[in-house]
Amino acid sequence: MKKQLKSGLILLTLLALVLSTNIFALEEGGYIGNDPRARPVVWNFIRHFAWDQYFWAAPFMFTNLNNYYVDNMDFAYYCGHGAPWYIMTYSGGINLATAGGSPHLGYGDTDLEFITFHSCSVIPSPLETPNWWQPWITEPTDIFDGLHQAIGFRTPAYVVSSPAISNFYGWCISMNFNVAMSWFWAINWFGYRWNGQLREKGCIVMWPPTAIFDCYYWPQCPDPPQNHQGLMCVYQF
Amino acid sequence: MKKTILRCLVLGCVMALICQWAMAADRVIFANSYKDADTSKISKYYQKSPADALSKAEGDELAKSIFTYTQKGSSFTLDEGESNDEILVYRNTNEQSGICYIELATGKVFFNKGMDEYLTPGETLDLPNDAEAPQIAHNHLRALNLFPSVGVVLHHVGGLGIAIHYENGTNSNYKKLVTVYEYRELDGLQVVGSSRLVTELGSGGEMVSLGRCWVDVSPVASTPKDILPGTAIRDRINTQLMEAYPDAKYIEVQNQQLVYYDDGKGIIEPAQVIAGIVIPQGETESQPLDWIVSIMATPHTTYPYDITAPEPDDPPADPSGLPSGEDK
Repeated sequence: MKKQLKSGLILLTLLALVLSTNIFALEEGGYIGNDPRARPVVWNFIRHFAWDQYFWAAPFMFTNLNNYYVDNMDFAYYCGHGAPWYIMTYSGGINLATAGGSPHLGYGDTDLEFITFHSCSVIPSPLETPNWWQPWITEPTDIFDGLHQAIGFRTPAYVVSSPAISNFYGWCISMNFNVAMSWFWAINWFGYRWNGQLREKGCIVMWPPTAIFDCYYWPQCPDPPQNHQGLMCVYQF
Repeated sequence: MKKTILRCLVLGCVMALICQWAMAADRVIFANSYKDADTSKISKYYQKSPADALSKAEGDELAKSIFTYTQKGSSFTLDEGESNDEILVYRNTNEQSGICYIELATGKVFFNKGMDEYLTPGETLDLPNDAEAPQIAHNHLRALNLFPSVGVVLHHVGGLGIAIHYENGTNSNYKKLVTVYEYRELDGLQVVGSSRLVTELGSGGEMVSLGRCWVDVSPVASTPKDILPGTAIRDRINTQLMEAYPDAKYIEVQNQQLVYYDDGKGIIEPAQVIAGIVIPQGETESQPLDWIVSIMATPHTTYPYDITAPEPDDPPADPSGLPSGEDK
């Protein structure tokens, strides 16, 4: 009996230790922009986790109070309308080139490692513009202040396919597959193709610019420095 | 007097315009470019037979044939925790970018052999060109007995690239993979939704990844009254879009195309893809709108917009009280 009690106590202690480690302490946040159809898209991602935040997006969550919101998470997921380096909410647009200009700085100086913009054209590739990197890393207002990856589309994104994309992507991340590849798989295997013209293509900007982009949700790669000037872009065409 | 009347009229017009702009749209506008589809020739939908599902043993055999073919036999192991009676999940134990996912009910296969050798700066040597890539992709699928006998249409040849902006300000751009995208055609109509073949090719044309969603289906006859006429389709579009975008200022449907919609679960039914614009609440500029609507009087499946999600939380008045974890 004593032995059983002892074993039980050891098991409980081990369980408490495991639960207190970072593996179970990662934070995920979902932010819904200015499209009612974005809600199931965001939900289909965060429902794969014991998520921490789930809000209608507002500019302050991405700008002057980002340390309490997106930069308080490990993985942030936004869905709504977008344009190059720009996302929209019901209470105003957010210029991602200047979102890091407040005392709360950009993303990653507090916590954030990965942010997904499930929106049209937020992340241009070299196919759209030769200065694809500039707005992401131009000091002092840039958002890459320790952020590992900004993930999204270089093309339009579509209502019809978005819930399936975010669902498979969320599952892959929760299963700890390679973060970048999970996004490209989800688009290739669940993206929208119609009439030979419409096609969704993903694009990711990330640091470091020279090493392999072999990055997972856990264990996480070392945080990038706040003021780096290098960036890598991985894109589908 | 005349001046006062004129001023009142102008003011009234301006007020009316402002009110109209501020209010939500009460109906969907169909542009002149939108033409009703001719649905008179649609006489069936398609259904998968439940007997076509793979058993666990058949699914495992399929996975192993892919591992052997890509010379990754010893790298992949079954993820017992994640696999169940519906899906088999295999992981590449050496590379976290390797996956094999098989859905037993539909035979869907998602495979990536592992990307370590491609996740580096530098051009991939000996990549197939756009002209030869589809044939190489078909050869891989045929070798695995995964090439569908009919209905394969090349969508386009693309790929995966990386661009680097170095700390010293220099730039480079590399092509890493070639991707062959193919869709399905039934009765001369494109199948949108789940159906697809996506094959990624690497150095020397090797198969790096594969996405195959191609459920074997049989036709089920429908009667003319099962298919909606053009006017009823307009009504359905109006109802669905007003429900989906209740606060939009303006919704305009600009064009449509008759297609089949594959729900990915075994139903492929006639539908209409539409494109247009929407001006969301609080915006002045229009955004692109895409939608898909069943043209069956009683749809046999659910559509992506049928997914529901809980109401989001309201942000707190004092966000400094929000729980925060440490930076990992």
